[in-house]
Amino acid sequence: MATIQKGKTITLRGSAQIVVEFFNYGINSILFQRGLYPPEDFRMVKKYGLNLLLTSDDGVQAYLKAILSQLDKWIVAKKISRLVMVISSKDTREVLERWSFDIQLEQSDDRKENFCETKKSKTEKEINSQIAAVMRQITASVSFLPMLEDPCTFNILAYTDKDAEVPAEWIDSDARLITKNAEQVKLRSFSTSVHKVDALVAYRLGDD
Amino acid sequence: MFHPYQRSSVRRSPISALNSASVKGNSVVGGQPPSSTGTFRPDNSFSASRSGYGHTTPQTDDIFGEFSSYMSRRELLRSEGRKEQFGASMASRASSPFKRSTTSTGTAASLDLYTDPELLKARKEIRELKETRRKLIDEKANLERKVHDLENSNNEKEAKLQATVLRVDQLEADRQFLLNRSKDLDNRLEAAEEHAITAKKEAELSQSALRRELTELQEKFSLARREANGQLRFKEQETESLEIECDTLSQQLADCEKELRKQIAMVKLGREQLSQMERKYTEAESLIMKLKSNGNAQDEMAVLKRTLDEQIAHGKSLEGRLQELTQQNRYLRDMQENTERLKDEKQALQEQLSRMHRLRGRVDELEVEISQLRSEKARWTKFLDEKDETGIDSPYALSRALAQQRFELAVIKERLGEEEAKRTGRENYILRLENELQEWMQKAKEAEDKRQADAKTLKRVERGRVLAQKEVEFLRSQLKSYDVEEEHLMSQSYDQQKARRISQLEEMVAEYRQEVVKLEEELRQPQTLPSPMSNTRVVGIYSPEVTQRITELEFTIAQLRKENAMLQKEAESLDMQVGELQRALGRGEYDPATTRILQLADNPETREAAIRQSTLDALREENRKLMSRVVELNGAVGKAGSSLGPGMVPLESVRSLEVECNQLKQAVEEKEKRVARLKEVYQAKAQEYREAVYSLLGYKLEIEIDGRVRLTSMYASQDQDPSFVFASGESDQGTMQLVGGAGDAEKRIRAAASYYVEQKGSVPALLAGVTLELFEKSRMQVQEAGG
Repeated sequence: MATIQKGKTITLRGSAQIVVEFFNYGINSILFQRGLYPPEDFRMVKKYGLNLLLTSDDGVQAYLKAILSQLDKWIVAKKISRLVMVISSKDTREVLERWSFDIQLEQSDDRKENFCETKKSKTEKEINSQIAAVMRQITASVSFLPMLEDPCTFNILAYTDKDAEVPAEWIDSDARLITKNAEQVKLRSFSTSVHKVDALVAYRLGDD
Repeated sequence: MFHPYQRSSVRRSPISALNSASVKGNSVVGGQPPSSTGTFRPDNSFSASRSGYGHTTPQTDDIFGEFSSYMSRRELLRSEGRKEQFGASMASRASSPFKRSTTSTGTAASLDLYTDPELLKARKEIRELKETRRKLIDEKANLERKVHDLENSNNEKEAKLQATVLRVDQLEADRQFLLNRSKDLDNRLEAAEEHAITAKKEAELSQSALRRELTELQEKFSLARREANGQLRFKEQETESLEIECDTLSQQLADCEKELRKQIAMVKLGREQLSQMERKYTEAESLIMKLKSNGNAQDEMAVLKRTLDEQIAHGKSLEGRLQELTQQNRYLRDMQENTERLKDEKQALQEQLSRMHRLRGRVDELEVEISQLRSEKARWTKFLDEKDETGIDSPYALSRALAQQRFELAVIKERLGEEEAKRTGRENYILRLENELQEWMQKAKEAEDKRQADAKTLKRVERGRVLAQKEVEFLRSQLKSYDVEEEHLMSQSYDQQKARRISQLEEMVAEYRQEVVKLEEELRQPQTLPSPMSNTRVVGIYSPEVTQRITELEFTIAQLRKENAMLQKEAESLDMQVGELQRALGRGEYDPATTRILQLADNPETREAAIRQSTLDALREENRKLMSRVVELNGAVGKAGSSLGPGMVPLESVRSLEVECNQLKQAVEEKEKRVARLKEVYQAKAQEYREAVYSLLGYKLEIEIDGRVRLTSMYASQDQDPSFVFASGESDQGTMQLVGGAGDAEKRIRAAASYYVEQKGSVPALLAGVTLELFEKSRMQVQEAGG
């Protein structure tokens, strides 16, 4: 898990690994918190100073692995701008929630070295505490999000640049927007000093 | 209301009659004396001719005339109301004619008495006359009586008049009273009338108000009625149209049914015919058989064969017809199905129609809205067209321009205020300058005065100088005279004195000169005094540049401020836009030109959807197959003519049961999975627990299969130290065993066990003691190893 060489500045690759790891735990947390899979399917691990849950469903694990490996490639190639987890009703295919994570490069390539030298204050501990805050918010968001009455499933969309390399398993999708009564709540963000990840959850408020 | 004069006029009427009679007599009165004086011819020539005429009448006429004249006079008197004088005057006048007549008769007798027949005649006449006179006197008395009577009556009348006057007065008073009364009443009447008029006006007003209300209400009523009528009519029309539609549909349905019945009847008929034909056919066959068996009648055979052929042909034709009919029947069945479908369709169409009605209503609403919006837009465009040259083409631009203008106005106002402040500052400055100027002028004046004074002193000094020069000259001349004198007197020893004197004098002159120079300088000084003025002028020269610079700067400041405000406004609007865009971004919108959205083809959602789709497809397929099967079975049943057997279960139920079975299996699997998970969890927990115990208490805890618990200290060496095995028996009685171990260590532990457990009765104390002992031993071993 150690993605950073201690005492050294974070590289693009290291940052990508941090981000990917965050997505792994974040998506698993959302899956658990929103009750998309039964709670028995999750096992608890300690991460970021928190007890987090990871799924033990093989299908989901495989899917997430595929997603995250590709995500890592795209982050390193700087071709991805956003990752969205869409929760939709199984019956109607209606989108009920969108967990959207904006991935922004915090610095341009040519200035990276200088930047890191001047601002190497971001230690692993700080990053982890920031990520832990986001995780806690994800956990806490259950209190304001509407109950998911219908059985639901999820999907992950990647917003990539036009010129990104796309493997054959990936296909184009529509934006899967929430059609009506959309509300949105901005969550905390974290930064690896290379990447900044903004979290936001949009959800559909009751039917009326 | 009679007037006294009126009455007198009534009374006068007989008198006037008398008067008119006396007019005739009057002319004769004059004639009487001449006749009596006819004897005196010289006096009157007429007497002869007159004597020939009758003279009796003139005499009587004379008296009458007298009387009548009297009467007329009296009348006059009476008219003046002088009754008392009347009697006297009458007496005097009455006497006078008699007197005259006596005198006349006396003279005549003296002339020819008794001789003349004429005289006789005259005497007779006189007698007659006397008689008449008497008669007249009587008459006169009569008349006087009458007069008296009349007077009496007059008095009476007057009394009566008085009474009447009194009465009149009384009446007058009454009248006054009545008048007052009537006036009073009039007043009251007027008041009452006024009251009545006001009341009437009020009543009229209220009446008109009520009338207006009434008309309003009537109008409302009529309006409501009209509306209600309109609505009623509309509803009626609607119902009518619906009824008509319904009628036509039911008609169609009835027609269809009728036709169907007809067809069914025909089919039945056809079947009946068919069966009849079959019967006939069998009959014919039996007949044929009979005939064949008979066989003997060969010639009959041919006939029979022919008839048989005919029958067969007939049968065939019947069969053909039957086929036709069955075909028709099938067709009709189809038709029925079609009608069913049509009915469904009709229902659907009706629903659609109602939906369309709703939509139309919505469309109407929307049209109204659109027209409103259009009109608003038209108003805007019209308004904007009017001042086209501004280049504003939308309300937004307009409001923007408005805001700009407003802001400019504000800026201008601000600048105006600033200018005002500056102006007042300037004014103050000017005032100050004026004050200064005045001061300076004062000073100049003072300087002038001083200068004049100086000039005066100068003049005086000049005059003094002139005088001094004169003195000098005088002194010089004196000196010269001295010189001359000395030359004359003593030629020697004067030189020194003179030279000293001269030098003294010259010194004096020099002093004067100096004085003069000083004065001149002093004189010149006031002219150079106003030099500070030039200083201010310099300031004045500089200030316009500065002020210009200041105004320029202020202008630029104002411009910058304006720009700043505009930018702020823009920033606000941009902020709003940013907010909107952020929201859109939050919703997940993106720029399709630069970004594409990708998903893994094999994601849970699509999997789910695929499962659904596949199950749906499977169900559809199944349904289709089952339908066809049902149709087949129906056909078979129709052929077999029997219903489903009791043992046969519909395929659908089997399938549904299968599905249910599958679902249950899945559920079981899930349950199993859950159980397995729980087991894993428990195992993990137990392991954790054991480890915790081991690390905290120093004993490895193993639970053996028969429920015994085996404890091994963490400090125990494998071969020497024993482990404890505890077993709990009945009634809370436990047993402890020492397993393994050898030699020294075992003995010590046994001793400890006997001490702690048997004497003190505490297993934990034993365990703790053993732990301590073993720990000490292991440490010593480590030390030995190290040492």
